[in-house]
Amino acid sequence: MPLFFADGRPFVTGSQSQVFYAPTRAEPKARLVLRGTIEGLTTQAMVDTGGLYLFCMPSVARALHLEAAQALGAQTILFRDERVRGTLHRLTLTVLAEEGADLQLDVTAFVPDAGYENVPDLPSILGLHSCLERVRFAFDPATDTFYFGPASLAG
Amino acid sequence: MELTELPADLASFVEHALASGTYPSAEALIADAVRVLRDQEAGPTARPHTPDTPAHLAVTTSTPEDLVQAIRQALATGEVGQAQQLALEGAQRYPTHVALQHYARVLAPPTAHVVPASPASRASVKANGAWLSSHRSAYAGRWVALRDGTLVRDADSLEALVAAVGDTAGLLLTRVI
Repeated sequence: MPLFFADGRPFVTGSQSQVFYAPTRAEPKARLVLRGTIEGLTTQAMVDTGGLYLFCMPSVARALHLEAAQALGAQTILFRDERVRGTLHRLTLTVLAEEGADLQLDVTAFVPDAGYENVPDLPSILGLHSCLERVRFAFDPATDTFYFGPASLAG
Repeated sequence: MELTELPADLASFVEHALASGTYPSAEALIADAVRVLRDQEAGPTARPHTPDTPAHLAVTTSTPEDLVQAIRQALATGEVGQAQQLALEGAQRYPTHVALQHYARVLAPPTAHVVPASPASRASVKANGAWLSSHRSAYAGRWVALRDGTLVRDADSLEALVAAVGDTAGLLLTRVI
């Protein structure tokens, strides 16, 4: 990895390129979209440093067949100015590397109830709090590369 | 009783709690509402108990049920850090209480571990990124299944895509945005 602290320790352990999605008419916000796995399902997820939890989109949640018994029920969060009800789960998420090593995270995930079909069918969302908060990351727009690693390289 | 007949802080509490679906039952809501009334009777020095300021319990003197209720309320009002702290401390104090252990497990701070990636996996991640970058506009709004940078199938929903491909092992499944 090309990113190091001054004393030579690596800042990150993996990287992934071609993650920047420029705004389009259909998707007017620029995004960083990462390839990874959620509970073993390989998919994409968007970085949202203002977000909370891993927001698992309903379609992905259905494909994962998450067990309701393992969830904390009847939670409500604000998503795009709408109160969305759902459940909290503990899920394993892996950010996949095209250089270096993958990064596996155990995170709190919010899964909307099945009734909220008006949640847009976007990639799932990687919030900072309770998801990316233990990840070192950096983005180089010059090379369109996202660098990542654990907050503690001993971990 | 109309909400307007209640003390302002209690009316606000009830209104927020009902709207947010915080409580699993009317009984749970009433129990917390009674607690608010008691706080009010204790006078102006009592700690305000509104959805924006969840009750801060002393873990060492609270029952497991009180802690579970406080965690639920903290989650409902967006005090995720408070909920996390109560869950972790509560689970430590009551190691056999199933609900507190469950809250502590789900709300625990995230953990991160480095996992070696094979050269084949890294090449596949790169190739899939290249495909998505170069086909973004052509497949916008479609769900696609990719294997090592090659399109296997596309569909208008994830369900349809999974049904079409069958075995999803080794495939990247995503909606193109």
